[in-house]
Amino acid sequence: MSEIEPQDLKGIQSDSDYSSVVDESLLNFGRWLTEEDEYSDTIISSRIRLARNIQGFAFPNKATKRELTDLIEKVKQACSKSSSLKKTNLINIGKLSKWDRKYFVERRLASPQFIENKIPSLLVVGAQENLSIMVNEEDHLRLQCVEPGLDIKQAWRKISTVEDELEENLDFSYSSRFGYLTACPTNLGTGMRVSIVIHLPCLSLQEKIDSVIRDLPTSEIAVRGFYGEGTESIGNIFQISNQLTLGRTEHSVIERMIDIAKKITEMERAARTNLFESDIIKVEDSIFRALGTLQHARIISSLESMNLLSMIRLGIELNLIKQMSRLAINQLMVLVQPAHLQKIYKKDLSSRERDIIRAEFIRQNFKL
Amino acid sequence: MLCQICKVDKASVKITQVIDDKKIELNLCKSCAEKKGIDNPMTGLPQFVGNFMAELFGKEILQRSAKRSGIRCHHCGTSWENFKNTGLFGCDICYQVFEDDLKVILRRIHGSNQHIGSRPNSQRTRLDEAELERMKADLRKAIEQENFELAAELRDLVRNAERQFNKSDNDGILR
Repeated sequence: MSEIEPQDLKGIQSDSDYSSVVDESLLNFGRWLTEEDEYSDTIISSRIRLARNIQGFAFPNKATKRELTDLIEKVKQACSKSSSLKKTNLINIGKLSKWDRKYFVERRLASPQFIENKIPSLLVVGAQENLSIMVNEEDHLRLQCVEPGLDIKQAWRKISTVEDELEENLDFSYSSRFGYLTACPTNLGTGMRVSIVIHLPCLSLQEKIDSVIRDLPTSEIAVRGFYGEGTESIGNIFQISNQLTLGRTEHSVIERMIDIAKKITEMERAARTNLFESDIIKVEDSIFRALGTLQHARIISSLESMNLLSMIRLGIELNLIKQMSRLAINQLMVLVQPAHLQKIYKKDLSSRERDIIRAEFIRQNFKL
Repeated sequence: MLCQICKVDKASVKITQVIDDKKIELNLCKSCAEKKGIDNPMTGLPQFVGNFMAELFGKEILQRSAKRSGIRCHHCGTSWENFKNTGLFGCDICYQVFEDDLKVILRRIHGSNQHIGSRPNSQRTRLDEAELERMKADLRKAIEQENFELAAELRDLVRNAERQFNKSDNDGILR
């Protein structure tokens, strides 16, 4: 891919050597990992993603390499004229090593599918790490903004501003019947996906998750959970996202998602209060066992550490653990992921070596 | 259970998605989950495509449309068969070519086949079908409420709008 001349960029860095930026920015977390709102006791983050395509170009699954490269240049030009995207990093995904690519997934700036892309693709990352644009994922553009807690409205304001600015130089594919045209019809219309990451340890402990999910309107929203061997979910973390993008306004979807997330939060809070009325000693035992393991383990997988960190997070919410903040736990949940450990220790590690180094890294951060 | 990707190792991670009252599960081994970058519940999750597509769109609808399987998009060459396999269209013109079948499928996926959300700046001053429908609904309401002054005003607006709408040969797709 040919580079834009630096004088055209106005504050946008060239994508030639991003790897040096990665090291510096390892602890330069996005707002979702450094700020909180009144729902942060359950809701870790809220994300809005918009899918857009550009007129005159086939969608990425059908476009030629030439077309995709031309499209990237067009997008770069449009980004350089957007004031919200000043000081943005442009990253040529194809030039990155495997671990550098995975790093962006762990950071929630790119999707797992995107980093496996074999076609010309570009990742645009905002200076604050809360905005990113994937160019040539399933659609030409996937704009996304992640905010802390339940601040979906803030995410919407930011993403709309970026969209408006890009639109001055890009013509989006749109029809009055179907709305914004996307490669997959499940995104058609608004092209908007709201997704909320929510921590529900007490509903999980009390085995109420299945009934909570059953009562949700799953024709409108999707609920995703991660499970290890057995029935326990990994990290007690769930994602809810809107399913419908056609025949509703962005505003009504956002209001609906906020409403649903608030209801789930109330149920989790009620379950936490119930704990004190029932078998609190059992919960305390799990929390302090988790603490003991994290303080002393010599080898630990990414999945086990997620489960234990989840219990510590609950311990903080229940005021049983006072030496750490929930933000520090959220950050650790990101830092102990494989690509982050590779970057922290700056060497290529085997899976077993990583598990040993992870235990060491956690011990250093858990001097309570 | 074996990993659904490599079909060699034992699955140790299960990702579930509940949608439309259906629970879809993906069982992966540790190494495949890690390779796909989906071993962390905080980050992006995989898209459920493939067989899931048929479930989502409804098998009978996809089958019923089999008679159209000879049709291809004249712009990008995507056939209905391609779409059935990947769940993806190849370009914006596909939406014109397959519009009739899509209207049925979209109603099934989204419960609607008419966009009412925001539109590009260039389209914001132009009238679209959704807006016309809204004006007609307002007119009906005004008549029901016997607010004839407002109804007369709205009727004129709707008439003008319809005239304007029929004049422009708007097939919906922007070029």
